[in-house]
Amino acid sequence: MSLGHALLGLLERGPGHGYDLKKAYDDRFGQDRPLHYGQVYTTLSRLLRNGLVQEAGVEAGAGPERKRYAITDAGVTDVETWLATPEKPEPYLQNTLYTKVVLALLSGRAAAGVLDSQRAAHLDAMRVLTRRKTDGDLADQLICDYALFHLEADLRWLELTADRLDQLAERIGR
Amino acid sequence: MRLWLNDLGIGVRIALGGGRASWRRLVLTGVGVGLGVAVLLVGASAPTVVTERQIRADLSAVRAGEDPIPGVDPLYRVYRPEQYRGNQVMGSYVVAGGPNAPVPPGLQRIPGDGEIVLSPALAELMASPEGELLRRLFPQRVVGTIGKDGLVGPNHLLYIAGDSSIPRMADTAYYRFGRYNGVPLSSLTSANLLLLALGVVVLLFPVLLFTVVSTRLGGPERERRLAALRLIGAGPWQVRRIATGDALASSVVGLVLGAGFFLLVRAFVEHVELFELRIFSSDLTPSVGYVALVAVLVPVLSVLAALATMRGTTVDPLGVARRAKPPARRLWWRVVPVLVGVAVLATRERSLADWHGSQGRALLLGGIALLLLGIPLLLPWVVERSVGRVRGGPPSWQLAVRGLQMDSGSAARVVGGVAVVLAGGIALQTVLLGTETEVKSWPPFAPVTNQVDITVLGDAVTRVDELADRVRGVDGVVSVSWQRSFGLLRKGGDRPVEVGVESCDVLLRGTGITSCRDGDAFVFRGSPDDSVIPEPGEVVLQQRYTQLGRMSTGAEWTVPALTAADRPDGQLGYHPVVLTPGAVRGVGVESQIGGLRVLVDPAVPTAARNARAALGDLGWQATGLAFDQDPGDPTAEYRTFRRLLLGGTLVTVLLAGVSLLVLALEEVRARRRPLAVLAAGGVPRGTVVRSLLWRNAVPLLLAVVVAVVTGAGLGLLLLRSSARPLVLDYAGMGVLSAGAVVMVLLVTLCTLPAVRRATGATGLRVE
Amino acid sequence: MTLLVAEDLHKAFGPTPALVGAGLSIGAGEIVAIMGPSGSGKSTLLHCLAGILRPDRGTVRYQDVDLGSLSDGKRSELRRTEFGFVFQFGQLVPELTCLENVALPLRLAGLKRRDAESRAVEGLARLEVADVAGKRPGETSGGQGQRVAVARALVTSPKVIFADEPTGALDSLNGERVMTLFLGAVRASGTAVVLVTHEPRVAAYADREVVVRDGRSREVERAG
Ligand SMILES: Nc1ncnc2c1ncn2[C@@H]1O[C@H](COP(=O)(O)OP(=O)(O)O)[C@@H](O)[C@H]1O
Ligand SMILES: [Mg+2]
Repeated sequence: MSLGHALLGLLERGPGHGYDLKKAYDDRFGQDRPLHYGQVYTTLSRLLRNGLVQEAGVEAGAGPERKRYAITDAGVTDVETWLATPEKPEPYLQNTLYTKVVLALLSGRAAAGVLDSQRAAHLDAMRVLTRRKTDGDLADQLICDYALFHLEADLRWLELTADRLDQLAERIGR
Repeated sequence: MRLWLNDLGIGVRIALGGGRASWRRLVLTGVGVGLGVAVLLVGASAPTVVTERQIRADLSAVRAGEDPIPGVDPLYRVYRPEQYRGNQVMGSYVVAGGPNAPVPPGLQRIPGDGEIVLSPALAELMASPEGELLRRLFPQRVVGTIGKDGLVGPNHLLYIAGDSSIPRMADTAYYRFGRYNGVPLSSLTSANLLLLALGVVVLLFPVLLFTVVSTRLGGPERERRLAALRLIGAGPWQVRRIATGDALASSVVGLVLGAGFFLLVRAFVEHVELFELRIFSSDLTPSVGYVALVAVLVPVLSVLAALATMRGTTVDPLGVARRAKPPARRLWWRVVPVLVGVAVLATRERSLADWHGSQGRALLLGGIALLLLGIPLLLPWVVERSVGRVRGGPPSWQLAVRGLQMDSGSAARVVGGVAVVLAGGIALQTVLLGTETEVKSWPPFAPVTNQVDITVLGDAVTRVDELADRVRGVDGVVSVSWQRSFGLLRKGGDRPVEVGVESCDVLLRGTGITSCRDGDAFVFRGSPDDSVIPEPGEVVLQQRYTQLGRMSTGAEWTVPALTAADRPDGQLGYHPVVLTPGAVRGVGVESQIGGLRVLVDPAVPTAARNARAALGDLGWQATGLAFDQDPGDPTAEYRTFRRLLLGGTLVTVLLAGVSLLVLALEEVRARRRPLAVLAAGGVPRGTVVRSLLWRNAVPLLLAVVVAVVTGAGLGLLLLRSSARPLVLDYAGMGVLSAGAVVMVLLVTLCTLPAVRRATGATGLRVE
Repeated sequence: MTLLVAEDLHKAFGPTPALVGAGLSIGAGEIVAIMGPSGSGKSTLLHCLAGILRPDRGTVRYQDVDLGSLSDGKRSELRRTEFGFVFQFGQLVPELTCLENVALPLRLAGLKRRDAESRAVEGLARLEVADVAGKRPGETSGGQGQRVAVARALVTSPKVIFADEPTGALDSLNGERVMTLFLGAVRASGTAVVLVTHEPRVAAYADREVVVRDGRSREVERAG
């Protein structure tokens, strides 16, 4: 699960400073584990170094001055690639997948596409496992079946989510 | 007790419990049971119909020449039936001999001179265009309608006309209406009564059977459900009670519908004529006892049937739930009734000749009933056995046979009813045919279309020449001659022979006689009672007709030489002995009553009626007699009987057809999914349909075989040693068997839409 | 080489649209899974592909023959000779023994009973249910029944087998066994399979997946 991609995705909606990003992230994905402010700044500086974001002026206000960051073209491309690339099917993917779906919805991209390509990737993995299982011995079969059942659980989650995309989009708002 | 009711309630809910499928089944069951119940109720009304008709016929019965009853004035009455367009018009001319004269049943008062009352049917006929000539025969003023009490049935053509010119004498005086000392009027001999009883048993029992079968619709499906209940812990008696509730509910629905159907039939029955018989709606009323019997018998039998078919469910619920092959049927108790029946019949030494003793009759009937009723018990076993060993054959055949092996019960039960009807029908036909063959040896009747006789009596006899002239003027009349007759009684004989006086002209024209001179005398022999004809030269007693047509014995007379001649076509119209006027010596025939013998041109169809109508104003003094109708074919009663029987058989077979159809539809529905899968897999619909055809046809064909064997055997047993010719009614058997085949085809044809629906993709959908 | 192609299929049942522009193509020997939520039109699509239903619009071509142009009888014949079917349940004729059930398609094709039944025995053996040959379907377990059904679908050596939720009524273990034996047999004979299922683990036996949603089909692109 990549914090960098998440921040990039949030920046796609428009420039913002670090504190805004932390708040947005916590609102949407943080659940009961808020980000450390330091984490945000380290990540932003890495993105800055890689040319995915740029500084967009300083905001002066009542408190200390704060830098505003904006996403670059390279950054947008990076987000897009990330969203389009299914995660390697493995257990406990939900966090990443959920983030991806929400960001896709936030940025007005086709969230269904994200899910579909992910399900294709899952099914491919399952096919490989199934074939291995068919040719393998009992130990192979048991190991494969373990993985298959987990993948199947993910797939079911994907299907369910796909069916609830409209609901989700409404909840997130734009 | 509460638990019991609760179980019954569950059963009722299973029967009625919502859902389209169960409603459909309920409707089918209701219609099937209802039709049967309606037929049963009609059958239960038959005794009422017969007795009511008999009671009314008796009400109008009279006897002439009775001793006067003190305080009652006589009603002078002359009975004058007429034939009109093949219909028998009955009626009489009456005049009251005083204020206390008896009033004929159905009338408020005795019609006065020139007045007439008509039965509704006669009034209708006279009002119609066909009744034009009748209006000329009965020109009197219509003053009323004859009520139901005076009529046998709604189609009774009856008039009662007032006429003050009727001679008032002992011969015409009547003091009361109604039969009083219980002389049976019925022309039904005890043999025929036996046949009637048998017919009712044979026809109504299968109806009962179909009715019960209908309550078992969807039996296997129901059984599986009950088996499921049993598997989740219902005890065997609990399941039986649930099944009882289920069966009760279905049969009650059927009873209600049946009552409805029956009332519908009753509403329309007056407008339907069957075998020249029409009955009043009010006559078609079953007695309370019979209604109660039907109302109890149908539910009870359906419950019994339900419990009997539940053997598998209680013994092996798992097998039923999983559609295992049912356990084989046992034979021994199924053959008992048949064996007992045969034994009883075989020991009746002179079977049919023996019916006079009431004990003998009861035994005979019992034996026949046992034999016939044993068939439906035997058939399921026969079907199961015949089908059980069958292997192979084309796929459609295999599907059908395998299906029958799994569940031959439902089909065999319906078909058992058909077999009873067919067997009974064949047996009765055989008996009737035997009797009829015996009667048939009498000379046949051939209608005479070119002749009508108008009998003239009373004062009108003195005006015969004028009357003859009037008739001569009618279009199509070829000749009119005055024909007189008298009687000759052999000494020691009890019945006279009638002697006609005919001119040579008429004889040459109307008979096969080729040469005739005045003074000749002819004799036509060959009737059943030739013994009354005297020999030439024999001295016999003259019998004279009174003014009203009765005979009185007169002087001696010597019979002249008689030339034997061939009887003219038709034995009617000519007396056995015919004299030309020259041969009548010493008999005062001039004053005798007689008739106008009118020969007409058959090409003018109205000639005979017009000739009769020309004398319409004579009232009671003239009556016409035509010979174009068979007045008394001795075999007619048997033929009517056979037709009635055939009709009843067909109705029952039809009902069986409905039962079979309902069963087949249910079958298709229950097997929808396998059928749909077969069709999806490309099995041609023809194969599916053929398998259904076989499935219906195999049990039915077996039933026909069993029925033909049993029926013919029974018929022969009944006729054995009764000195009657043994004739098997091959034609009847053929018709009935062909009927069965046609029925199977029709039933299968009717299931086609259901098959079409089931084999579509919809059948694949999971419910 | 494509064996079966369907394009732009539309089918409505009264007011309910079941298919609105679904399509699919299958090559010889290919195994395609059709997935999707229930009520999405999977079965309807399968029925159209197999010529059981006539689509309101669109074409189905089998080996370059338009199924729409064939008569009812011809399509029946095609299904009998070229296709095989496996459904979720209740597809065996309850009155016939398992052996007779499997032999039935061959007998319909005109084979003698003896020959048909001996081939049916082989088919049953291949699916490891030779022991239920003499039993009626009601006397077998669900898994055995489904394997008998698979044997029946395979016995005529069809080019395509249509399977609609073949493991839908089975537990995982029996489902696995049915699928393993089914797919083993199918791959050995090079038969194409259209496999409708909502179970991912069953779909994983296929080469490829098509998703049907609201009557529209979508070929899922292979990632990467
Ligand atoms: N014979 C039919 N009559 C009416 N509606 C039908 C019929 N067959 C299918 N449908 C409808 O078409 C839609 C698709 O059904 P189906 O193809 O069976 O879906 P699936 O197999 O994907 O569950 C559903 O809404 C269903 O109700
Ligand atoms: Mg479906």
